[in-house]
Amino acid sequence: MDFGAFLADSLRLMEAEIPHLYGRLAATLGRRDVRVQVDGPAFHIRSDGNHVRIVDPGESPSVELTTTGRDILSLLDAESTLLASALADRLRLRGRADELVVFHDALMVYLGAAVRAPGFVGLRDRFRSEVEE
Amino acid sequence: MTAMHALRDLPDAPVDAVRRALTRGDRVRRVPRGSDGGGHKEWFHYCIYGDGFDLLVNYSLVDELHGTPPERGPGARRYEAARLTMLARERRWVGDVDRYPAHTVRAAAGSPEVRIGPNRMRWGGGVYHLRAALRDQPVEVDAVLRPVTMPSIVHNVAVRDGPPINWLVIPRLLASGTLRIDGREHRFADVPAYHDHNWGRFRWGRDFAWEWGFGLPKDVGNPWSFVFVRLSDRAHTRVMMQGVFLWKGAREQRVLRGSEITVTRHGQLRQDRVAKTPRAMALIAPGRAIDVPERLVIEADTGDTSFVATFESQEAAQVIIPNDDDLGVTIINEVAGRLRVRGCVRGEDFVVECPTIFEFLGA
Repeated sequence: MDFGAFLADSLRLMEAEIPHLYGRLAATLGRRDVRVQVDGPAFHIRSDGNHVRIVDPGESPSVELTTTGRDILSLLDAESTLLASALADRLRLRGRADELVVFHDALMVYLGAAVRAPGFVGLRDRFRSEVEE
Repeated sequence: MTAMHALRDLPDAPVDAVRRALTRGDRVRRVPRGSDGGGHKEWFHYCIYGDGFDLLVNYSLVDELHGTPPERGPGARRYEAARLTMLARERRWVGDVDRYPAHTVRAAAGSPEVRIGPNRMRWGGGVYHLRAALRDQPVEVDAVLRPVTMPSIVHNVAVRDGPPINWLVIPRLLASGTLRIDGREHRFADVPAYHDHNWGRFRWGRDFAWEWGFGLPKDVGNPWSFVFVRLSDRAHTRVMMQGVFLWKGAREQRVLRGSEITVTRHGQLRQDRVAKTPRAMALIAPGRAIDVPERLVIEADTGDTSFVATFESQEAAQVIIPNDDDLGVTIINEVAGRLRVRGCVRGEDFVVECPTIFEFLGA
């Protein structure tokens, strides 16, 4: 399971399990694309304000994020923090400051939803086993 | 002197009374789903103090109001889940919170037994049997805990902004068994232990907080046990309830409430590193700021009873719980430290000095 597949599955899970937070995530992102690259090929997180989807890379992302699966696991395992990873260049974020703030707000909503979605743990474990293989 | 000797030395030797009280009172309190307003929460909490370790084990049952697990389909709006929390400390805290889906949980209303996946807690034959192992952390316990004091049950503790909390506490048990931490084995026999059981329909994130702790001497010949609890608003500006419970031997000897005790917080505990569980919650609640005093002093001078109890904080670990009604979190700080109580009850001096775990709940 690459990170794009993990993210797509997690968004479907949130939409089914905690739709009010899924809706809040989409509303927080508004109409935006975020370009993400984790180990493999890049993809876009695209929000229209109501739904969030994983799509092929397109034009003009508001924010670009680059990291690795292992660095994501180190965040999930509390071995690093978002700030420490960014300062150490293990997690690279590029965008205008106001766009980075919106992305951070959306990320907090996503994480808040993830810890409340009962099915998320299984999804995370599948991602972990693929990264650690 | 063994603790059982201490019990037998009491004139009323209430071993059977302890057993009867717990058989009647310490059972699963949740009601069948759908027969109440939902949101029931309940946990069985145990602390064990061996030579060279502290251990906290918590079996928690939660009637979730938000979220639909995959096995129930998108129409379902409520479900029950369970969590096992274990924190163990040799030099530093290690532990985790493992969540289990409803179909792996056995905890019938009125039952003395809770099974959460492969983990188990059962009251039977006058003892608690605990068996628990974390999924991703090398912590595993198999223990038998024998109560040596009567329980105290406090019903309907009012909290602001929601239904009341109920609380059963047994300040003193003797624990025997095995604890494994990262391959190291601790075998223990008749070491001090503590148990409480909480239940109610409160909502995480509402305007309440608690401070709570206990003291039980390692010397089983010392008959005194000490429990402190205070419920306040989240900002700690308004106290809703506070009390100290003192046991001598098996019996509750003195209860002091409200203005009979004075509680003061001194300083702020600071740590370079704070263990957070579940670990992924560190993404949501990063940072090292801890809403825990360096020192907590509880005092009373009521005429027939006086004491000064001082808890010195050493190291906190945080259990981080998502709020029920907003995206915030509630942080339960489990704080290892030392308690020293010196006092006098009805002309009898007493001293309690021990390692302990105090709990500070905050935003």
